Amino acid sequence: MFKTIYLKELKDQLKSPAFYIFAGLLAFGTFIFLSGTRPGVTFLYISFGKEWHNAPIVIARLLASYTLVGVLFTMIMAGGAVARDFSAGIHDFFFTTPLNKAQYLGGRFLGALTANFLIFGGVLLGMALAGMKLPPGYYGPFSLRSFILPLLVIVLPNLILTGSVFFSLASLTRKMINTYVAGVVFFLAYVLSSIAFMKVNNDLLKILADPFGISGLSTLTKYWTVAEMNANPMPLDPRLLLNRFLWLALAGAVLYFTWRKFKFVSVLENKKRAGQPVEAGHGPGEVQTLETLTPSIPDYSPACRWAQFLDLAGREFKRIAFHPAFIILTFMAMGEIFTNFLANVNEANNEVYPFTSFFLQYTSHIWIYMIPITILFGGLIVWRERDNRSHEFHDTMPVPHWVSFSSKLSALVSIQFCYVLMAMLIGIIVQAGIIGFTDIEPMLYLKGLFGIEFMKFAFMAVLVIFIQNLSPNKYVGFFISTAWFLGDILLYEVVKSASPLLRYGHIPKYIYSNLNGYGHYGPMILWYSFYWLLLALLLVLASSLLWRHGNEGSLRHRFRQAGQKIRPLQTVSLVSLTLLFLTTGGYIYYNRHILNKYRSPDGQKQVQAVYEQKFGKYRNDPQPGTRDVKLKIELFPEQRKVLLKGNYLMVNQTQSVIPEIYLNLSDRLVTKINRLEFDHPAQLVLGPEEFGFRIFRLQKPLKPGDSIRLDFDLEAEAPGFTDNNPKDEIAANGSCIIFSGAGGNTKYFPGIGFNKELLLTDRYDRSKYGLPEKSPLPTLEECDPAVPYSYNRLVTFRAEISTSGDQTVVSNGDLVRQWQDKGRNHFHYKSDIPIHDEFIFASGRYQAARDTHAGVAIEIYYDSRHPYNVQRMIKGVKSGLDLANSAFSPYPYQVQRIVEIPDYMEEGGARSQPTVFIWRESAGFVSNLDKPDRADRVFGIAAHELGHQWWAYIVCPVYAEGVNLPTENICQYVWTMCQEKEYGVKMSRDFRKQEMEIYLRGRKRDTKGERPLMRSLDGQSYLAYQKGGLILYALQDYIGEDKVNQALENIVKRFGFRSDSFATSRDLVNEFRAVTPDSLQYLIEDLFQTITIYENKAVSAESRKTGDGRYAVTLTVESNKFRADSIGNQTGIPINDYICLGVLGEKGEELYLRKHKITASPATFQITVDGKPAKAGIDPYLILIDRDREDNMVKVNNI
Amino acid sequence: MNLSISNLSKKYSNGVAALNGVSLEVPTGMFGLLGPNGAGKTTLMRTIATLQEPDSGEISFGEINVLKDKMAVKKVLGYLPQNFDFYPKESAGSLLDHFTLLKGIRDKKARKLKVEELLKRVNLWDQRKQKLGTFSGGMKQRFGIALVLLGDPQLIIVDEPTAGLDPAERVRFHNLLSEIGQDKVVILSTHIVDDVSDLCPNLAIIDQGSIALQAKTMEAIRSLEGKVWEKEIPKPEIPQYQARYRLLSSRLFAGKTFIRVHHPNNPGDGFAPRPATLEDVYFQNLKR
Repeated sequence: MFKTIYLKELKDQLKSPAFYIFAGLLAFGTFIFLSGTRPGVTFLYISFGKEWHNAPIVIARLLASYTLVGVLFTMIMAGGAVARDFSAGIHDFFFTTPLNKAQYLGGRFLGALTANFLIFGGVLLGMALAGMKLPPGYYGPFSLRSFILPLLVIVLPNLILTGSVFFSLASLTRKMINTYVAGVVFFLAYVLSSIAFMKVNNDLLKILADPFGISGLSTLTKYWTVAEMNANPMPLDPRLLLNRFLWLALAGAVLYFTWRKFKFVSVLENKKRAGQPVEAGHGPGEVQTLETLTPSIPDYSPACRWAQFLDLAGREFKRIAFHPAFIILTFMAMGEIFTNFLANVNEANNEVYPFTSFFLQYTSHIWIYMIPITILFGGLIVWRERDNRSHEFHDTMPVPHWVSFSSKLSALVSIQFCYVLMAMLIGIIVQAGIIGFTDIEPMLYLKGLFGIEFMKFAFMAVLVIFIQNLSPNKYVGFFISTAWFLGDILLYEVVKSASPLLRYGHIPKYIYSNLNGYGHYGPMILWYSFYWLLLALLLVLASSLLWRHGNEGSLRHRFRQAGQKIRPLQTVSLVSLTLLFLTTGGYIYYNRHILNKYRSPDGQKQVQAVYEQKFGKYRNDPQPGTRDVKLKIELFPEQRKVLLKGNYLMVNQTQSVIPEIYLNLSDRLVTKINRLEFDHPAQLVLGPEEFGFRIFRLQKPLKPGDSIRLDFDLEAEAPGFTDNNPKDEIAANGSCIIFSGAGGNTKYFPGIGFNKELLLTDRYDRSKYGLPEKSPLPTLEECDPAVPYSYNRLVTFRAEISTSGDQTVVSNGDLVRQWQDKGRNHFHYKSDIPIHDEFIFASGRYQAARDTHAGVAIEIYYDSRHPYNVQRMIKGVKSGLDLANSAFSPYPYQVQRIVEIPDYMEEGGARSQPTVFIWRESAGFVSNLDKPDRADRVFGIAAHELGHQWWAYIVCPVYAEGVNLPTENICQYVWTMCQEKEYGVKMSRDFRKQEMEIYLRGRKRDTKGERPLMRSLDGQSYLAYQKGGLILYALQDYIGEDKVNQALENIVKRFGFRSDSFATSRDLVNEFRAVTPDSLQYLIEDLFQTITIYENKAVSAESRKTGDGRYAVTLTVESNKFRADSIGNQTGIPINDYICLGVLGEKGEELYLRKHKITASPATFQITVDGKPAKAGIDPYLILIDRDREDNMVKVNNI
Repeated sequence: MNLSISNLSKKYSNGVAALNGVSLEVPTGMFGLLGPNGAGKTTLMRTIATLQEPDSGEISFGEINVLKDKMAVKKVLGYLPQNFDFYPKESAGSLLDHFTLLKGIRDKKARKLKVEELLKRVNLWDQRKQKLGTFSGGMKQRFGIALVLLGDPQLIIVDEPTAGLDPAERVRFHNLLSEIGQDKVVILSTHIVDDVSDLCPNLAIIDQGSIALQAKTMEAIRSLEGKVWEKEIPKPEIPQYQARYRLLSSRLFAGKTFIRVHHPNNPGDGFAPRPATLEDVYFQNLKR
C-alpha cells in the first residue's frame, strides 16, 4: 500500500508543470552563474575568483544556496502533497481504504521528497551546459563525486528538514495557505538571523546554527586558497556533520509529531465549518404575499460615477491586499528592505549614518518585487469578473467602461502606493526608531520613493493592464507580461543594449549626492518621467477604449467598436498625446545624443581601444615635461560652465630631440577652443582625432633642455541632461575638476603625450576589442628607475579661480588672496615650492573647520550636514604629521586641506594631491563611529592620505612591480602606527585582525594571482592595503619602530623631490635589510620577497604553582611555516623563527610575552609567571600571517 | 413598451449560424422562448442584453435602439445569465449593495433599504452576511433574481433559470418570476416546456437559429386539440411507427413505451385520443 501511495505521489509530482519549471530554473541559474567569465559576479552570495567554476566547494555552496531559495519549491511540493487531497476533496477516498496513517503520510512525504530531490538534476544539466560554453581553464575535470557528496550531505537533509515542516503544516491544518505563511516566516527568520550571526565570532555556533549548512560551508572554507578549492572535496568536518545530524533530528521529530497528530477523519472537529450553507426559504410551493418594491431613483451623475468608481476600486483593493500571495510578497519585500537597510548602514567596520539617500540607494531594487505583484494582480483584477463568472451581471450594469477600467487600474496603483508607503515607513522606523537618526528628509522620500519608484510601478501597472485587456485569456496575458519583463531585464540589465528611450517606464541611471541632491540629473529624471507618463496615458486611453465587454472578446470587434464609439475629445487627446510623446522623445534624444554626444560605457571602451590601436605606437616617444602651470579658471556652477585659461611651461627633460608634440583635448568635455597654441611655430599635422589626439610638428625641434610654452583658452559647458554624464565634475554644488598631470588624464585641460590612462586594463575588454594583453608592470629587474609610475612632474603652480558668491574654491598650495568681485568669489592659490602637477579645483557651499598643528594649518571643507567626523579627520592629520615629521622629513608645506566631494566619482574613497585631499562624501563624512570599540577608520584614512604627501609625491615610485610598497604599504603603516598611538594597543589588535581577514579573503579572489609584497601590482588592493599594513607592522614589531622609520627616512633623503630617479620596492627592502639585525634577516625574505604563511597553534598548557608563589607553565605549541604560490599551493618549509609566546591572566592581562626561537614543531616551553595563568599560546596578537587564528591560544590547565 | 426584434442574424467565426433572420414581437408580460439546446436562445438573449453584437438586424425596446444605445438599455435591463457565479468571499448583502450602487442608487440609506427589500423578497435576508461561496445553486439563483430586480427594470431577460434546480426550488422560482412579470417585458428562455406552460401567456419556439413559431400559449395548445393520439407499443417498433406517423414523442411509463403522434383524425391502429399539451406543440414545431 505504501508503495502505491509513494508511486502515485511521485507520478503526480512528475506530471505537474511545477516540477519542470523548478528543475528548469535550477538548470538556468546554474548555467548563467557558472558560464559567466567575468570574475567577481555575485550570485546567491557566492562569487568566485580564479578557482574552477566547477570546483567541488563552488558546487557545494551553490547547491546549499539553492536549497534556501528552493524553500519556495519545497513549500509547493511538500505542502501540496497532502493539501492537494483535501482541496480536491478526495481525502475521504483514501481514508476509507485499508491504509494506515504511516503508509499514507509516509508515501506522500517520500514521494514529494523524491520529486523535490530530483529537481536538483537540473543543476547537473546547467553544469554540463556551462562546461560546454566555457573556454578551457575555467573548468576542471568533471567529477560526479563533487556533485553527489553535497547532494547527500547538504541537499537531502535540507529538503527533509524544510519538507517536513511544510508537510506537517499542510497535513495538520489541511490548508495550503498555512504553508505559504510558514514559508515566508521561515525565509524571513533565516535572513534576519543570518544578519545577526554575521557579528558572531564563534565558528562552532555559526556552523551549527545554520539549518541549511550554508554558513557551515563558508566558515569552514573561508581561507581556502584557489589550489585548495580546486582540489579539495567539500569539507566533511565533524562540526558540519553534527549540524546535519541535529537538524535531521529536528525533522524526524516534526514528522513523528505529524504522524501522531494526523487524524484519518473527513472533517476536523471543534471547528465550525464556515462553508456549510444554511438552506433558507419556505416549503415547496408556498406562495408569499409580497409588497410591491419601493421604486428606486437611479442617478447617473458624475457624483454617482465617482461613488461607483470608489466602490469598485475599494473592493479590488481589499481583494489584493488580503490575497495571500500579496501578503507573502510584501512581507518578503519589506523584510528584505528592512534588513538590507539596517545591515548596510551597520555593515561591520563600515557603519554609516542612515541618510535617506542611502535608504533609496539600498532599496532601489524593490521594483523586482513589484514585477510579480503587478503581473499577478494586474491579471487577476482584469479577469476578476470573468473568473468568477459574474461578468454578465457586471457588463449589463449601466456603468461606463472607463469607470470599470479606471477602478481596476486605480486599485492596482493604490496597492503599489501602499507598498511604497510601507517602504517609506520602514525607512523612517530604521532611521529614527532603531538608530535614532533625526535628519529624515521627508521631501527626499517623497521625491525618491513617490516621484521615482512609485511612478515606475504605476507605469508597470498601466502596461500590465493594457496587455491583459488585449489578451485572449489570463494565461496568455501572464505569459506576455512575464516575457516582457524578463526580456526587459535581459536586454537592459544583462545585455545592456538599446536606448533608454525604448525602455518603457525606465529612467536611466543617475547619481544622487547629499551635497548636490539630484542635481543635474533632476531634469533628466523629470523629462523621462514626463515622457513615459505620456505613453502611459496613451495606453490608459487605449485600454479604456478597447475595454473588454460582454461576450465579444475578439480584437477586431473591439477595435471596430472603439472606432465607432470614440468621441471627438478622445480623438483629440489620442493625437495630441502621441504628438507630445514623440516630441518629448525627440527632445530627450536631442539632449542625450546631440547636446551631450552620449557614449555608453562600452562605446567609451571601444573609442579607447581605437585610440590605443591608432596612437599606441607613440606611447614611448619622448615628450616635454611641465615645469610651471598657470591657470585662470572661471567656474559658473549654476550654469554648469567653466572657462579655462592658462599656460604650461614645458621643458625637454629627456636626452633626445623632440620633433613633434602630441596633445590630447577631449572634445566631449571641452566645448569650445578659443586658443591652443605653442610659443614656437608649430604645424598641426594630425587630428583632432579620438580624445582630441593631435600631433603638432615643431618647426624647430625641441632640443634637450629647451623649453616651450603652451597657451590655451577653453570653454567647457554641460548643457541639457544626459545619463552617464561625462561632466559630473561640474555640479551646482560640489564641483571638482581634477588636473591629474599634464602627462596624464587631464580631461578638461590639454594633455601632453599619448594618454596611458586610456589604455583598457581589463583582460576581457582587451580581448573583446582585439588588443594584445596589457603587459604588466615591468619587473624590478627590467624597470628603468628614471621612469616614474605617475605622469606627474614637479611644477610651480599659480591659479586664479572664481566661482559663485556663495561657494568656496579649494585647491593646492597657499591661498594667497581671496576677494569678492561683482558678486563672485575669487581665490588665488599658488605654490612656489615645486609640487607635483596634480591639482584639484573644488567648489561648493562648504563649511570650514580649521586647526593648526606643528606650524601646519589644517583645513577641512565639508557640507554642513556632514559635520560628524570632521574632528576625527583633523586628529588623523595631526597624528600623521607627528609621525611623519619625526620619521620621514618635516612637512614642507604650510597647509593640509581636506575637501568633501559628491559621490559622482564612484570608486575610491579619498584621493591625495599635494597639500590637499579630496574625500568622497559617503566614504568617511557619513561614517558612524559612535561605537567606542570600533576602529576609527576615518582617523586612519586621514593619516594614510597624509602619508601620501611623502609616499607618492615627495618620494615617487618607479613604474615597476612592487609599486605599492613605497606608496600604499607605507601609508597603511602610517595608519596602523598612528592608530596604535592614539587609540591604544587593543584597537590596533582588533584592527589588524580585521585586516588579516580581508587579506586572506582577498587573496583567493584575485584573478591576477597573489604576489610577494615586493612584486605586487596596481589593483591588488588586498596587498596594497591590508597585507602592506600587517607586514610593516610585523617588521617594526620585530626590529623596532625607530629602525623602520630610519630606513624610511633614508629613502626620503635619497629620493625626496627628485625628478630624475625614483624609488622601487627593492630600494625600500634594501633599506629595511640594512637596519635589520643578522638574527632576523630571514624576515626580509619572509615578509617582502615571498608569500609566507604560518599555521601557529597552541596544543596544550599546564601550570604548576611553584614554591615561591609563582606559576610554572608548560606550553606546547605547533608552528608550521609555508610558502605559497600565486594560487595558494603551499609548500612547507622548516621553521627556525622567532615567534611570540604569551601567557595571559584571567582578565586577559599579559603575564608573559616574549619572542622565542622555535626550531621544531611541536615544541614545548617552560615559562614561569607571577600571576595565575588562564590562557597561553603562540603569537597571541597575530603579528604573523596565520590562516587559522582561533587556535593560537589554549586554556591553561592548572594542576 | 414592446420589444421588437427584426431580421437578427449572427454567424460565429467557426461558421455556425446562431441566429438566422430572427424576428420577434415581445409584448409586456412573461414571454417564453422555448428551444432545444444549441438553438440560439442564449445568443439571442445576450444580444438583447447588449453582451453580443449581431451581424445584421435591429432590436428596439420602446424608443430605445438596443444595438446603438447600450447604456439606455442597461438602465432598464434586468438580466439573469445562463451560467454565473459570484466572488466567493463576498457576503450577499455586501455584493448586492455594490450592484445597487452600480445600478445608479447612490444614497446609502436608499441602498440599504433596497438591499433589505430585495433580499427579503428572494428569501435570503437571513443569509445576508453569509459568503456567496457557501451558497447552494438555488440560493445563487435567487440571489441572481435579486440582481435582476435591481433598479426597476422594464426589460427582464432570464436565460435557462431553472436548469439544475430541484423541484421545490423551481416552484419557488416560478413564484418569484410570476410576481415580477406583470407590467414588464419578461423573456424566459428555457428548454423546459413546463416553465413556459406554467408562466408564459406568449411564447416563441426557436430552432436552429430561426423562429419556428410565435403564438399565444393557449391558442397554440388549442390548435392541436383533438389531433394528439397515444399508443403503447413494443420499443423495437418505434421506427415503423415513425415511418408511418408524425411522431411527436415517445416516453416510458412504468417500463412500457408510449408514443404520441400528430394526426388530424383518429388514426385507428390502437391509438387513443389525448388532450394536447404545450409539449406537443413544441415537438410539433421542431424540425426533424
